[in-house]
Amino acid sequence: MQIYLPVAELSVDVFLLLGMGAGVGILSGLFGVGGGFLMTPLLIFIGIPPPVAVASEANQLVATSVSGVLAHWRRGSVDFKMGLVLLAGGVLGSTLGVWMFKLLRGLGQIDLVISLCYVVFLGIVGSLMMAESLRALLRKRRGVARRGKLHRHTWIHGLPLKMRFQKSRLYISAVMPFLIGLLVGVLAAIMGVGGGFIMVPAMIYLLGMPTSMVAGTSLFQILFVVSTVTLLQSAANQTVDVILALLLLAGSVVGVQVGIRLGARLPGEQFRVLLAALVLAVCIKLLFDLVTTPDDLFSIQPDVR
Amino acid sequence: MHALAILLTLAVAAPAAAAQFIVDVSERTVAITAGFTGAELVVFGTTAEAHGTAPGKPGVIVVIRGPGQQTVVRRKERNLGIWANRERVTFLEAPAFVWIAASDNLTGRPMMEVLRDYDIGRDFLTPAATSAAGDIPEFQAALVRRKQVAGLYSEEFSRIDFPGEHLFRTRVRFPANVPVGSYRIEVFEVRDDRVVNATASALHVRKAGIEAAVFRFAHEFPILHGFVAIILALVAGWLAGAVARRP
Repeated sequence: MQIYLPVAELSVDVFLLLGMGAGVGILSGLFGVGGGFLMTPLLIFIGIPPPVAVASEANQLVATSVSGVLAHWRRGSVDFKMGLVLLAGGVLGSTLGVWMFKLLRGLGQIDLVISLCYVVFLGIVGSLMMAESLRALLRKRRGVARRGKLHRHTWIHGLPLKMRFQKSRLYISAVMPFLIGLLVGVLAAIMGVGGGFIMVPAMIYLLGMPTSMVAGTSLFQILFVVSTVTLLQSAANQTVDVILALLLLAGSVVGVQVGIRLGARLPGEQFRVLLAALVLAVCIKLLFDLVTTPDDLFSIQPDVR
Repeated sequence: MHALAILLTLAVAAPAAAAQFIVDVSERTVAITAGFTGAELVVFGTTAEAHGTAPGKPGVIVVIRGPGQQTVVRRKERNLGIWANRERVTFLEAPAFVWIAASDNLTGRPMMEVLRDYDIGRDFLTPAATSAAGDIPEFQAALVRRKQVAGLYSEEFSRIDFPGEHLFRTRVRFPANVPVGSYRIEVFEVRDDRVVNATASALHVRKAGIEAAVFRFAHEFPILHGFVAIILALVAGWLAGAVARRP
């Protein structure tokens, strides 16, 4: 059954969109990731114009993150103070990102920049994830559990504007979380991702936050950043397709629940390797499209002013 | 369609000698609704001259042209191994849609002449003053080619049927990505390589129903639209979470 998407201005199979939502939702439930980094490239692969894919995916991520934030809030695993510092950076970053998006779109370079961002970040994150999960697998097989130092003193602790984050039991400079939030905000606006895949490792390894606080706090930041992106993309570029977002999220809410239930039964480490392989596969496909000679060197676009 | 049936009976009943050049379309409006997958219209009419076996039998050309759009054509170049958009040429008023059909008895020449006279064909694209002069024909050809690939430009010879002596008929297919706006339907009766009759009329392609409302809302109240999009997603996400928490 075809449906005409009013903002994307093309018709797509409803069941394809629901299926994509469900598929990415299952992965989200399995691995606790938002799935934007898979959904946006998929939308572009099926022919949705990249600006619409990015903005509508941000809209869908609002729905994906809200129930997670509420669940973590009830459990008390959200560090609101840290979340607000991350968010301050995130709001500035996403404003910057949407402005860059509009500029690049006028220059005809937005598709390229979206693809390049994906190649770079999926490449880095995919490789790190692959290395990490393979190491975890090996360790498990050998049965040796190594323990890292509890607290390492690095250059990050020398930055000014120190703040006390009671919930995370941290006394660190607010500059670092602000910068992390900023980067994630820019990426959210340009790539249509929540940015958890960057923020979570950064919070653990750069800020040294306790893992119990990381998921809830990052989701808190993501919820507000993707909302900001949705609002700004709608206001500046009119690229949010609500029908598209609703169809994707209808599929994903079901998929997430299936994924969570599956995740309880499946061996985690092996599946992390699979997720890493999937991330790398998307990265390679996008890179391949950038370097192979296109069928037609020319492209057309109604002029945006 | 019943208009076509009436015309069919008229054509059969009318004496073969004196006929008028009349043209009509099965619909004057193409409405893009939620389930829109394209539309098919029938352009039909009668020629003044009988089609039959008479020498210099009349030919018919049907041209449907969409609204003019300022369109940018970009060419990719390889840079550090990566293909990126480089040069650009802007065309003012490139028709968003062009559909041309001609009866098969017309040779290429009258057809091309008619097209030139009425500003249809390769020369209809006016490059903007800002563009570099050298490669414009190449960019023009690229514009036409990309539009053809998208199903928005087409030239179809021998797609016009003559079910009766005066009656002609052709089907026009509008793809799902047909741009909205005002279209012109022009029909020419050609005899002995000359246009003997011509008519022009309008056709509208517009979004209708929910699709139209959503699009208009997104474009006319973009900030409010953003808030509504966020609230919809919040409610949907919260509902899903609430349902999932129940045992």
